[in-house]
Amino acid sequence: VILEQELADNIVLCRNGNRKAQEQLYRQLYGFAMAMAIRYSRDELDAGDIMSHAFVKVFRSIQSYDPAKGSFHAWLKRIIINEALDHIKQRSRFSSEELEKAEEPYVDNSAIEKMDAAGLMLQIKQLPPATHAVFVLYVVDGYTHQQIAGQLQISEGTSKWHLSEARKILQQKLSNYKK
Amino acid sequence: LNQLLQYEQLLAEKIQQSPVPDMADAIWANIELELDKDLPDDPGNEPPSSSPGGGGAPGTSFYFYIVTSVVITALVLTFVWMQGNNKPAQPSVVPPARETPTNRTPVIDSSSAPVVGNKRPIVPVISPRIDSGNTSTRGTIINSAFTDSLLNQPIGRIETDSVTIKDNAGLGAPVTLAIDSAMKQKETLLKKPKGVRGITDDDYKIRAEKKDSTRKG
Repeated sequence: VILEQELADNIVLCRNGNRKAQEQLYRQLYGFAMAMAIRYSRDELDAGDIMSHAFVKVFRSIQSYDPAKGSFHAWLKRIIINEALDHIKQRSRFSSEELEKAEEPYVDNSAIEKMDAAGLMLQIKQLPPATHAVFVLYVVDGYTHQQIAGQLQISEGTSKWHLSEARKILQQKLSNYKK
Repeated sequence: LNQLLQYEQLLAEKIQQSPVPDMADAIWANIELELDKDLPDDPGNEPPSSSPGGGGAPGTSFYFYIVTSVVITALVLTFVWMQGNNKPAQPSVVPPARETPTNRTPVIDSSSAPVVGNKRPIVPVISPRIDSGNTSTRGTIINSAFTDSLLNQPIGRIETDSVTIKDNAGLGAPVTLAIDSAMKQKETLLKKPKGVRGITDDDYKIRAEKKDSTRKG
């Protein structure tokens, strides 16, 4: 409750352009925001770029944040993911191929259980950027194919195709890791 | 809700627990830099100043004073150096050159005559002097550029009483003479012939004659 109140106070001060409050708000939300940024980026530098651009947008448009429409975390999450997807769009193109239904290859859980989070992220980051983005959006952040299609301006079929590609590649990688 | 495969649920849980790199300070520096660009003139956003010299990080004003003083000193030295270089050279003391007397009348130099054999033929020096007897017509000597030998000042248009001076040496063209003011004065002092020709001053001599009437009486 104290943290929520402190967050609300900082948001009010940030609306007046108070630099101290901006820094406090940033540090308060750093872990939450960085965890998202690092999931969509290739490396830490890329994640740092996403973070700095996203927070500048947050402070520039904090006047438009409406607490009645949702939590500040949700608002920040949307800004971070939008910024991350903009980075991905700059360096890669999304396939025009489409699928009616994403494939569901079988992967043994024991392989994933043996791997730590960093090892898993390394496997995911080795996916093609567009496929990586779709996989993280669908599996980790819970976006539907419809939302992904709208976010990335692709069709739902293309979103399913990228998810299938990600699953196939990961199945192969994790199978090799098991051996 | 998305239908995740079993391994995907496990994967998502693990990924969300992954630690984040500690880059908070470096990223905040970038954010602050960008935000400063938006509000360059807003005094409310300036951090408290460490000295009366101005805002900025502690010690910034000290460096500001040092850099400013160095720049000002460099400017002053450059200005002084440029002044020294731009000074006109000191005029060396040279005694005024004496003017060599020039011929006041054109002289035909015999040295320019062609040499015949070993001897140079004697050529008379002809000085075209104004002969008041032959110059009865009124004329003008035009000389726009000759100078007064005494005052070394240009003399404009000079009218003379003794009008056109012809080339006595038979050169065919009128000779323009450089006449100095002294000569000019001398010429202007020449008087016109007065009286009637053939009658001299002697003709007007008054003689005292004896009166016969006084003797008779």
